[in-house]
Amino acid sequence: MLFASLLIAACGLSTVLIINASAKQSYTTNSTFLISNVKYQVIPKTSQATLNKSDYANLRKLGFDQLIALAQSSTHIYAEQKRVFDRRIDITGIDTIALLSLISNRTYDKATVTNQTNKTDQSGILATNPFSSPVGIVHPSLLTQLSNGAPNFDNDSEYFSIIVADTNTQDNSDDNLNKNNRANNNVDNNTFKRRDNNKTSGIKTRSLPKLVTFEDPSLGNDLVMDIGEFYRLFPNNHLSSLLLVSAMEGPALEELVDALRLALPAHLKLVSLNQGMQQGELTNSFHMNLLAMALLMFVVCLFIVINAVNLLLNARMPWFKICRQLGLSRNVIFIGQIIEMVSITFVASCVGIYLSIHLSNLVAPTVQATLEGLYGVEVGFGNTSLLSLFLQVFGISVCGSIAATVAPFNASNQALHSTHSYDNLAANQKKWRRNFWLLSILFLLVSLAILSMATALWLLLVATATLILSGCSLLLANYPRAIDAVYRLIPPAFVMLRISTKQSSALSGKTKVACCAFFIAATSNIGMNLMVDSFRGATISWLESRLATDYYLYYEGNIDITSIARDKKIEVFQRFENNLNYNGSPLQQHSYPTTQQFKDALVFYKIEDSDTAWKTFSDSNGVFVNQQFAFEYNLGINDTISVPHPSTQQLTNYVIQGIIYDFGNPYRQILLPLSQFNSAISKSTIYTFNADEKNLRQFKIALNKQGIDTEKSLLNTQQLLAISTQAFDRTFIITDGLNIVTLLVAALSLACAVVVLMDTARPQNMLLRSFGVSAIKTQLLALFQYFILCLIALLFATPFGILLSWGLIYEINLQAFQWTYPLQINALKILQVYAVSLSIVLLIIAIPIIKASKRPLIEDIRWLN
Amino acid sequence: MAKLNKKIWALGVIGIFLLGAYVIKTSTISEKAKTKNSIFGRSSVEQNNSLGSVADPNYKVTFPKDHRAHDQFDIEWWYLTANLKDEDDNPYGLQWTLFRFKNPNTSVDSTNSSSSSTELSNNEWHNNQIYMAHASIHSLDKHWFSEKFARGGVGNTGLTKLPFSLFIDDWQWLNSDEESGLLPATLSFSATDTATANTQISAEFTLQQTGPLVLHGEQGFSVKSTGKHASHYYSAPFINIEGVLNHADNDVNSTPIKLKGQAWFDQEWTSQLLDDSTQGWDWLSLHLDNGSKIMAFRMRLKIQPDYITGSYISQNGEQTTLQPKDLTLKPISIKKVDNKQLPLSWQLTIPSKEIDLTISTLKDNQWNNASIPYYEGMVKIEGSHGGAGFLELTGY
Repeated sequence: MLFASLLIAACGLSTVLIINASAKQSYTTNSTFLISNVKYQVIPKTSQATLNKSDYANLRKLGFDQLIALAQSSTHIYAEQKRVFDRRIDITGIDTIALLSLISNRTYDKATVTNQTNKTDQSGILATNPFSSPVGIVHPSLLTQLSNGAPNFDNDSEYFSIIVADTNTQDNSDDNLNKNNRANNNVDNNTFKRRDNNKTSGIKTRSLPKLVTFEDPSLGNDLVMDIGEFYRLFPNNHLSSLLLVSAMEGPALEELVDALRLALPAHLKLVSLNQGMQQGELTNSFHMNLLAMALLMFVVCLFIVINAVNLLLNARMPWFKICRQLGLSRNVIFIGQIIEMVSITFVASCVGIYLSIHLSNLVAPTVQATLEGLYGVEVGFGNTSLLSLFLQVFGISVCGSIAATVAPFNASNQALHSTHSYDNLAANQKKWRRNFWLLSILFLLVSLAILSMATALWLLLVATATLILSGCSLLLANYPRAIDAVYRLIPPAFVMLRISTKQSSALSGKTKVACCAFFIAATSNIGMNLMVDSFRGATISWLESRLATDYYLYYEGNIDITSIARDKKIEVFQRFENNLNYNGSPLQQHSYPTTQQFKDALVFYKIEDSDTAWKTFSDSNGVFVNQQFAFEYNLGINDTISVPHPSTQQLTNYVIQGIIYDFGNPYRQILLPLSQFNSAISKSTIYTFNADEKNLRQFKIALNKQGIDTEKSLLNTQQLLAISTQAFDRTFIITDGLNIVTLLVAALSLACAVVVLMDTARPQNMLLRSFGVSAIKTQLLALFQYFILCLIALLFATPFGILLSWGLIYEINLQAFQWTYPLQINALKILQVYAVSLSIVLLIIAIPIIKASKRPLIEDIRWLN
Repeated sequence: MAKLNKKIWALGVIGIFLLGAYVIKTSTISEKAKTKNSIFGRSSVEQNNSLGSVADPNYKVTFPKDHRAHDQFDIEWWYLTANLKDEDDNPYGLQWTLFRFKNPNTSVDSTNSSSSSTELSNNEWHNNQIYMAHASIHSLDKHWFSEKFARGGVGNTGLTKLPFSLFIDDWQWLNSDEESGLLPATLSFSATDTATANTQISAEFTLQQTGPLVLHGEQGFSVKSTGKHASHYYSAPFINIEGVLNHADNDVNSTPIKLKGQAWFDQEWTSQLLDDSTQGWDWLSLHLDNGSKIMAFRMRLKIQPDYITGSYISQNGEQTTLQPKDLTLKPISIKKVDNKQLPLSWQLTIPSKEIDLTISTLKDNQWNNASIPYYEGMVKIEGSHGGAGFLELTGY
């Protein structure tokens, strides 16, 4: 039992450590090179604020020449007026001229960029070609993908282009630019004319610079260019951030950062790049949850260890007494026991780690799917250092197991020391009860204080732990009273039940630890189940509401779906998407139709007057934002935000008219009416429509003729719901698994306690047997006693489970993901947890009880003598 | 987040990558052009495609207008050198230069001379002017040096008309009377110890003009060879300079260094200095003990003899252009510095002025290991006259 519990503890802990370490390793491989020298960035402080060229110039003039301007956008790429690639390409512009200072300056020598060319090369380069000719850098495979869509590809020229909206302002500026060119020289003028072509349809193409390839996987979907080129392509974009590139470390860096913070104008803020990393934050929360669950399991395992050690010592007590009589000191005996314990822990840790490696490989796909599905990050699994893993697991296990053996050893020590035993529990019961009450209140206050004030995720997890501890203390303080209450409820006619209940009261004093383990498991079970259930309920009702139309077509190609649908008498609504960069973070800008059907479909977290809100939205003066956006920037209804217009990209003010639920979306999102979008500029990947069977059939045929596989890309509402529910269940499979494991461990802990107590209860049982009560009946009564204990623990666990669930939804979820959902307390779900928990526990503790019931009567009588 | 990290990585790489791409291009071009070195950012190949304005012998240099930028020319510099001494009479050399390059790769251009200092509208970054600045201070045992780059039109580099200023980030030359002239001025900049890259000094100097501005060549049209090489070139050779070097690391043991001496300022703009035939040049600015000044210049050209020219400036500022026949300028000692054979001692004679000077550097290694490396260092003068000055060697 001891070995098994230590094995489970070590295995669970090391599995989680492996998963966490490997996942984190894969993030760091994604962020190689300059990340060590770019630790901070300057971004706008609020959603209304913008970062522009003058901010950059002013800060550099103040001496912060480590700041490098950065601008980002994402767009489709065209060649010969045709879209060459379905996916959008992320375009990044950087002030490469300013970057030259950092590369060449001795202050930042070598450390700034790790793979810089040597000094002689640089000089040669600068001397011959001092400043960049316009080029864009892409990964070779991206260039291949782009060129595959362009049959006449010629990389010696500026072959690719983007399409932007043609506005009056742009026309004027371009006229000016052209005028300047004409005044200057013909060569430039011709180049310029070729690079920017006006079209009559309200859109304009702009040539991308010549693309050159650079083979590094980190480039991915990015096209990187000089900021001058970037602003030729996107003249209306604002700067995304100013990167602080510095090789400084320690106090020097802190000094620089402090000085920069002081120098920043009111509308800008300096953030640590790691802080701003959405992936880091999100995945951290996942890892912390996982680690918290593993530690919970570990702690529950330690409860078993306590019971198992108790059991072990009880069994060995006669031998210890003999050893004492032979002259061995108590210290020698216990040192021997501790050496044995450490050896067992060592073996358990080794075997546990071995098993955990296999286990982590087994759950790796699920974890990857969860991380990718939930957070939109790519995760691979790297190598973990076995030695460091062993040291962690063995260290924690040894500390835990030694701590767990202290109490049983103390008890044994007393047993060896004294010639008679006495139970001082009754005498101290009152004192203990008072102490537990005090502890419970203290823990509750601490927990509530942290929950109401803390913003760091780890503090919120500490708060949930103290909440559970508060529940434990409350349970221990009130166990005897609760059992008394149950006793009073049992009619006097049921003598045996009343006797059994009274015995439960005595038992509760001796099974405190095991009952606490069960309470913790039950509380976390109820909490997690309610949370998942609420999330499921909210998601499904949200999905059912949001999926307003009957059919959904997922298509990213160039075929005009709208006109095909129109031919088949079907009205389709496109969902246009623009991916923006807002205050240094990605922002989804989506279209939303304004027909009554779609109005009814939108589920609001907050909205004031629905009619006014929709009218302002339809008039293009208002927007709807998701919770993620509103919570991140602390925005509410009627607040004004400044975001690029979906078509013109001009910065436009919009009033927030409503905050919508957007479960599971890791990104901030803003909805604008369809009329604001230009199909030539914005990407459309989803087409929604209603159709009768006949029109649908014809539409499918038409789509199939165009080479669109409707089997895969056309889904009805039910199919979408089913896919969503499956994805949902996959996401929470790990949580469910850990819940069951925790419950099993708690049941094992109780079973250990039962074995110990069986011996203690033998005299009473023998007495009952002597009254003619059958062995089965006595054992059933024993089972009933544990049932009473568990039931009371469950009753106590329920309010704490609900509180835990509330904390998880409104505090931890909000902190980790920036969205919440209503807590749904489903009595049936709680009863289900009751049933499952009690069944598991009773099944497991039934094993030793049934085993005991099979013992011949003579054995018990002999024991009595 | 992976995305952002990737981008950051890529951002770091882009500068390097662009440079890397040029290495390949450069090596090909260099081979074709058979030119090993180029000077101040203009290769001979590029020069052939130059679109910049040509120096005009009939152009009349006027001030304060011509203190400002001449964006239509390919290259321009505002160049200050100073021979200084501390309170213990130890020599120090100071150089502060703002270079401007016209970038032929951009599509946008501006047409008036003051436009480089004018910011473009907030979201236009495609100005065609690039600025580079060098700051260098030598003591006999130390060298502080820094280099900066910035694009014009952003607002962190360029010139202002009133008060006249030259600036790049926090380095600044500013007319201290808040007027449009070049002098009097304050100069502030910082530089890094080349031996210990983390130690910086900040410099604050005041500059007082004590004599007239001098136009070199024919009214500022300075011929550099028998061919087409020429520039517009004037100097302010009469400047008293005084200031202090502060250790920027707040080390209590480092006391500020007070310096005083005489400075020489040059402004020169051209599109015709560097072409296929240019190998480099050697330049001297000399403050003689009797108060007169000399500028001597040797243009090193391929397949033709070196072209030596200069200016003699009397104590009261009267300038005499020295044609090749009027002076001799010969290296008398070659030393190896930074793996380069450099002429660090010179013989200068101007028979008409009874001048016969031996000029040698105060310390050998005064090499500026910048993106575009060159030699710029203080010299002492012996022979018919004593004095101090500066030697510049490019294209080695």
